[in-house]
Amino acid sequence: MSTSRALSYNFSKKIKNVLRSERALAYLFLLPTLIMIFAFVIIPAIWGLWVSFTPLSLVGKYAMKYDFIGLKNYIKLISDADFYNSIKISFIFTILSALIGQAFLGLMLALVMREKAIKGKSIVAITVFLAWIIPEVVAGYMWGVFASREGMMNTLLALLGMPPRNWLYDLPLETIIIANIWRGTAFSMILFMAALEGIPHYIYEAAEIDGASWWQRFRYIILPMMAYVILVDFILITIWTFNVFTMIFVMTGGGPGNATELWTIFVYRRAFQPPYEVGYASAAANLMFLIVFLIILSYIYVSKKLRWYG
Amino acid sequence: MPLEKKYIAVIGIIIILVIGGGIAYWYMTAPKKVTIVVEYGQPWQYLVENLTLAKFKEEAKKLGYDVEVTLRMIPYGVDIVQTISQDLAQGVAGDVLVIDSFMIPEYAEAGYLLDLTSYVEEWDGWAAYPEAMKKIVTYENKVYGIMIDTDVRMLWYRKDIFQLAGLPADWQPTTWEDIIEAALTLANNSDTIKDQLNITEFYPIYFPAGTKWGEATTMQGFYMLLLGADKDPYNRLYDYSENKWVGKSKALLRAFQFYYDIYVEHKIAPEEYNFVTDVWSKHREAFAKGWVAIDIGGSWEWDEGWGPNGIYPIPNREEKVGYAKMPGYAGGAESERPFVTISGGWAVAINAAIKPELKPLAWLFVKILASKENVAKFCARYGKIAPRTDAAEVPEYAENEYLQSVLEYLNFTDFRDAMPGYSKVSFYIQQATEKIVTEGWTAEQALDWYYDQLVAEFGEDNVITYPLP
Amino acid sequence: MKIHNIVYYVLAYIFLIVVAIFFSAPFVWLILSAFDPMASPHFRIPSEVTFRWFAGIFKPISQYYQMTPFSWIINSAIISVSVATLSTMLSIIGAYPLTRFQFRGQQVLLNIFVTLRLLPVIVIVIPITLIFARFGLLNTYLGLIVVMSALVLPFNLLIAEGYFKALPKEYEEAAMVDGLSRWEAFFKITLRLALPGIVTIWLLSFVVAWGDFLLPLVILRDPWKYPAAVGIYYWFGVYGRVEYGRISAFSILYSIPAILVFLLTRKYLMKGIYGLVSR
Repeated sequence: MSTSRALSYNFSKKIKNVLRSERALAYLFLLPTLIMIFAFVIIPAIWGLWVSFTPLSLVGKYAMKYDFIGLKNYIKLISDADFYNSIKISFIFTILSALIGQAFLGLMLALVMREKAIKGKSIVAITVFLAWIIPEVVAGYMWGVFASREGMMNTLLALLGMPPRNWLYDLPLETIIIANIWRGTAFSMILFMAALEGIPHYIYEAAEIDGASWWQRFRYIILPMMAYVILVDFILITIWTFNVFTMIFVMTGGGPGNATELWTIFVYRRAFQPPYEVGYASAAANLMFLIVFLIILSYIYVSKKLRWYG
Repeated sequence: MPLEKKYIAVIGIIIILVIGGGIAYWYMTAPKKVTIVVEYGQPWQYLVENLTLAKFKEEAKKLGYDVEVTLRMIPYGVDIVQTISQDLAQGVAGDVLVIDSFMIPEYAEAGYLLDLTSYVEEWDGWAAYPEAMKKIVTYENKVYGIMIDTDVRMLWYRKDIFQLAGLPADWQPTTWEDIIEAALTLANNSDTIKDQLNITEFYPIYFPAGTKWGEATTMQGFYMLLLGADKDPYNRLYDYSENKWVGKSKALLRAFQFYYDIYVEHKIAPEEYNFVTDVWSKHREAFAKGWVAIDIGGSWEWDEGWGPNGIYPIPNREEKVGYAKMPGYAGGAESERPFVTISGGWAVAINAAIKPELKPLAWLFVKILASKENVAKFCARYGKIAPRTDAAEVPEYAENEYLQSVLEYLNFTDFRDAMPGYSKVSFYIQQATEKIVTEGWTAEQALDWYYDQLVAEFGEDNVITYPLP
Repeated sequence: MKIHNIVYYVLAYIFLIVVAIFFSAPFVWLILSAFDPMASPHFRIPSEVTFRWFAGIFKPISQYYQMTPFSWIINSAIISVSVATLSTMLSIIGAYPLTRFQFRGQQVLLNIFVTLRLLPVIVIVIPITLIFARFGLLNTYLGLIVVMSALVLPFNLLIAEGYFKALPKEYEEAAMVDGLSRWEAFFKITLRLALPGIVTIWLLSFVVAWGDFLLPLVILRDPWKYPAAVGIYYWFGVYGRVEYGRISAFSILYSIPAILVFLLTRKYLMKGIYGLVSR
């Protein structure tokens, strides 16, 4: 009787001790999160790796068949001109719309927003902001219509004397790049505005009194102080833009032909549209994820430096 | 100790919530009465919802079932074949399915469809189907579906626009050359046509191309060319004596060449219409508004596309819209077919994964859906051809003048090479036409590319080439 | 004022005007077409204002189909609220030990979360559909909600971690000295202090779930289960032709919650993004 009571007392004491021990508690708190992420992200990722070694398809002979075929999908992939095309499109899209378009426009806007004397700038900021916060499908729908032959883009350009054209057909890649600048500039703008606020005004004013020109102030004060923020912005928008799917899918579906087939759309089309080659699409997805992963690693490295700076 | 009690209470509440939630979830999703799910594309909405649903519920009640029908409609603008293929593969498709008949071999081979052989043997309606209609739904001697409509394809043209260009309103080309000549005449008169119709864009001819159209590129456009491009049996995608896919042939080359001629050489076809968000809608709109004068398409367009209840009604349709048979390459001079058409059609089938106790209900639904009355009424309303010969007994169908005039096409119609693997071959055709249209590839380039795809997919041993000119 | 200053301001204004036109033009069309009885892709000022496109959102799509486009917005709300609640709760209890305890693997974990936050969703979409098909989770809200929560979790965790880190430890420690256990200190002190942050996390994950398209597109199959994002896509061709007025009206209605949330959190967001980035 008493021994069992003592035992149970010891047992509950042990539990208490385990609970009190910080590491156990930390793991306990983290457990649900880890389970969720493991079950719905890690396992699917491994499953996807497995699928890429099978000829799995949605219909026909290989419907739902997990036969091991080794590296066949990957070998087919590296000789697939359409796959290279999608990588090329993705890179052009990312470099022009994110690195050049969004970051540059965002920086310009952030600089102008700093000027106290300029009126009406907050209305502009809110419009830029709106483009970023509306659901992506809506943005895709708006731009699909906006850039069509009958669309308003032609109405505006007619004021400049340009003849109407179907932008999504004649210049599809250029059009989705511009659409994505429209969509994503807000993030860079907000980030740069926050970073600029971090630069003490007195430095700025002192430079002005010293007679530094606008360019000199930008070149020697703003740019160096913002260098890391700009770098982080570059990496983040690169990753996001590289992963863009919905807006372009809604606008063009990857067409005409495969002129706007970003790698994400390439994967989606191979898997969920004829010929439904799920295994092959998985192989493409995995290869591309490797590229994204390398960029993410550089981000982790740089952002740590940034924290150390800050 | 109050603290530990608190923990226990919290954990207890959590457990109760989780279990309670689970039970509530199960209860909410568990069927309270029998439910069958019917999955179909919007073009069959009238057949399923207006003609079949009420009758089915009534009949089911007689058999003592309290049945609820869940309607899962795939709307215009969403690819029906893609959606159903995906749903079947992932085990979430409806119990009763309205499917494109060309997918039956692929679905059957994947084991997605219920074998209906024993059902049709006991069904009096089965006798009303001609052999050809039974063949489409049969794969390896088993029946997997029942045809509910079939169709033919033809050239559609705008009589009023033809007259503006000095062409006859009663037009029947006899060679491909005739078609291109007519289109070029239209192109030369495009300014007059634009002025008269008050439109800003005008294209003489439209053949669907590219992957956005999906199967329609192959069916409406490519096959209509291929079948008349050389003599039988060199005018197909599949060689039935060797059991191989055809990688290269004169017929394939000529069909690609036609695309090249209208899209690249003469630039008389609307490239961009092939890539808009909703290609079907665009093509119907373009023809209705006179942006396109010669269109190739299915017999259903008369009503579904341009009829008074259609999607883009054309006022005075009888005076403005004409249709002509698609001729063979040289009208039969090279012993190819003088005229060509091809029939597809949709079938109703049952999902193999259906719960056993639902099978009789699903079959009841299929029987009512495919009954003489329903098929005839549906086909009459949408200008489709009834696969059942006894549909002619139904007045609505028999008295439809348009349908009676189209029936002669059935004398020379043909069917797709719907073998397993066909959907891939079809996809390569779509891609090849896309490359011609968007990148200006020549017919030879497209053919070589097509051959390479077939070899990569089926292996060199399973691809045959015929000598090229 | 110096000459070059005037030039500078003139240039700045021109720049702002061009930007304003570029960014607002698509919205102008969207709003005009939603009230235009003859809506088309053309830009035109409607000759009369109609509300029938908006009214159409509350009408069933067909007489046999008791599903209104508005029900897609309700579905979006159900999904987004569930996802936001689940992922916020998990991220709070998960982020707490990351800031308050030292344990092995902490930094690795954080890096894993950063990686997962930036993971391209398309990579796991294919296997998710295959796995869900196997376990009967396809075409269910449960499946969609858990996978969406798992995907926004890393994002939430990192924001939450930043929050807790910024909260002074001293309050909590003082409470523990006063005899409260760590649990109690966490629930009674830290959570209360972090409340504004928690609300922000909830709102942000709500908006992410609200706008998501790809996951519901591949997971849900019954049209009446769709959230608004997939609903628009589905609705696009329902009439055999695109009815721009309807789609525009629906788009506006669908965008309003997202806009409201962001306007509410705007002040925080401007600062918060900077903090998030240094993660």
